[in-house]
Formats: sequence, structure tokens, C-alpha cells
Amino acid sequence: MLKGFMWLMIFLVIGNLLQTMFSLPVVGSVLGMLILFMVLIARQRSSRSMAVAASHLIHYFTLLILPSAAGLFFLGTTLTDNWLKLLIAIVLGTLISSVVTLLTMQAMVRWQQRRDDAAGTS
Amino acid sequence: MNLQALAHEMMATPALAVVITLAAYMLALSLHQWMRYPSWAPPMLTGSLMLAFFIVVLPINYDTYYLDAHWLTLLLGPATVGLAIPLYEQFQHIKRLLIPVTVSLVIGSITACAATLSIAWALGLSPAILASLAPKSITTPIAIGVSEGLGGYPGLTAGIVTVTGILAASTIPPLAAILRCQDPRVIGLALGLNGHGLGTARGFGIDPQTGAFASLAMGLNGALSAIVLPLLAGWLNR
Repeated sequence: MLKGFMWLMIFLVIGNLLQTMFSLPVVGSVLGMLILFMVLIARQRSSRSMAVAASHLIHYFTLLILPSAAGLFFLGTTLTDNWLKLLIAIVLGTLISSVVTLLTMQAMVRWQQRRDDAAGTS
Repeated sequence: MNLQALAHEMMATPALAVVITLAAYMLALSLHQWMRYPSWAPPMLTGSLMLAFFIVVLPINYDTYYLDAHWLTLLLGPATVGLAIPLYEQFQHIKRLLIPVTVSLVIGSITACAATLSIAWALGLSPAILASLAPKSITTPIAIGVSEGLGGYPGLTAGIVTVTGILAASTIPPLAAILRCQDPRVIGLALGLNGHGLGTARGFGIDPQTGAFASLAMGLNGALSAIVLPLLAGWLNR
């Protein structure tokens, strides 16, 4: 648990350093996640110690996000002036992308099926 | 000691901020359980409402609270890094469907962001609000990170992401029925890509394969968007 936690913190520090060094528009934690993901793909296996630490932390995501989430109620006029426009953008945008995703994946799964069938019969 | 001095004393340490965060979280979990896990009222929504209520009634303002709560939110860093582990584990399962998943992911991910942003832009919303909207379909910890990086409001992003998740989780299954998509892999991918954690929870409620694909789509979409959105924003701002 502690060993895995230390490694997650090390990747976080690396991510933070990269963000500062190259003044990237992505926060260090997200960079750290991407780097760890690439390291795991490169060495082709997961890390048990990190998996244990990560599952404990991920279990409490909602708790860790609450302080930021409550900020929604303290935005004042930014929210009260724009909530209807925001809601329209969210509802329409989500409906459009949901339909597009469903149709694309449906077409792609059928394409793969035809390809597998063709490979199987030839 | 008068009341005002006592209030001042209470605010001098981060303990109060931590206590009200934990209390709001545990109350939200109990409420969720008591209401039999409704997908339209996730603990994130009810918990942040209760937390906001505590901040309003106690002699503390949001900015002070947020600084003090850093004692807890610091752990969001290693937790976000840790998302790489389940993502890697799921990545192992899709090798056979690599092309369909990759193509759908790229198209869906771009549509989720572009459709929303162009509507928001046409309605005349400010750049900071657009930055808060851009990561609306990705899992909250990554979305908050992306929003901060782009100059958005993290609180607004958390709210937008929650609303998007509720919406996607409740509309995708009926939409799939209308469009005659019955394949659990198709419904799963759409749920995870558009509705992140809340969509994934809905997917596991349908069947395990739908849930597995939702979970995969959520992780890959988060990773992809974390790379693409900042690059896109940098290019647009040039």
C-alpha cells in the first residue's frame, strides 16, 4: 500500500515537473497518469503495489472531488446569468454526441464482424 | 470567550473544513443508499449541495474552506495518477476490437466536445465558461485538471460533468432502442464515452459486458481528451 502510494506520488511529482518545465496546459496529475499508462504498456504488466494504492484512492474519488464540486454554488453571477445557455449546450451537445457514438460504434462493430467472417471463410 | 472568538478559533485550523467535507460525503452516501441508488441524484450532487449548505451556515467562506480542504484534495493527485492502472487493465481486453473502439472513440470524443462548444459559442458564452464546458464528458478528476489547465472554473466543470453524466446515463439506453442498437458493446461504449462514471454505473446495471465497455470508453476518453483538448485550445488561441 505505502510502496504503491509512494510510486503514485513519484509519478505525480514527475507530472508536476513536466508541467512547470514546459508550461503545459495540463495539470501534473493528468500528465502523471498518462506517463504511468505508457510505462505500463511498455513493460506489459501492471504493478500490484500501485494497483492496491490506486484502488483505495479511487474508491474515495467522490469525497476528494466534493470541495471543488461545492464551488458550483459559489460562482455567483457567472452561473445565474448563464445557466439556461449552459443547460441548452449540455443537453443538445450530449444528445448529438450520444447518437453519433452509438451509430459509429454500431457501424464499426458490423464492419469488424464482416472482416472477421471474411478472414474465417477465406 | 465570546462566540466570535470561538468561531475564529475554529477556523484557525483546517480541521473544520475536513470535518464538514467528511460529514457531507457520509450523509450523501447514506441518502443515496436510503433512496435506493437513484441515478439522477448521485452522491456527488447531493454531497456538494450539503457541503455548500455547511459552508453557508458556518462562519467560513468558500475560499478559506477551499484552501483548508487542500489537506484532503491533495490526495486527488495520486488518485488521478492511479487511474492509469484500471485503464491499463481494461486496455488488455480490447485488442480484438481495437479498430472499432479507436475509431468510435476518436469520432465520439471530438463530437462530444465540438457539438457542445459550438452551441455554447453560438449562444455567446465567455471563453472561461467554454473552457469549463470542454471536458464535460470526461471523468471528473481529469475534467477538473483539464478545466484548470485551460483557465476554466473547476467548480463549474464539476457541476457540468455531473449533469452530463446524469443526462447520458438516462437518455442513452432509450436512444439505443430508438436507433435499434442492441449490441451491449455499442451501448457500453456510448455510455462510458458520453457519461463517464455515471454512464458506466448505468452500464453495469444493464449487464457486465455493457459495464466493461463503458468503463473502458470512460478511461480511454479521459486519456485522449487530456492530450487533445489542451492542444486544440492552444491552437485555437493562437
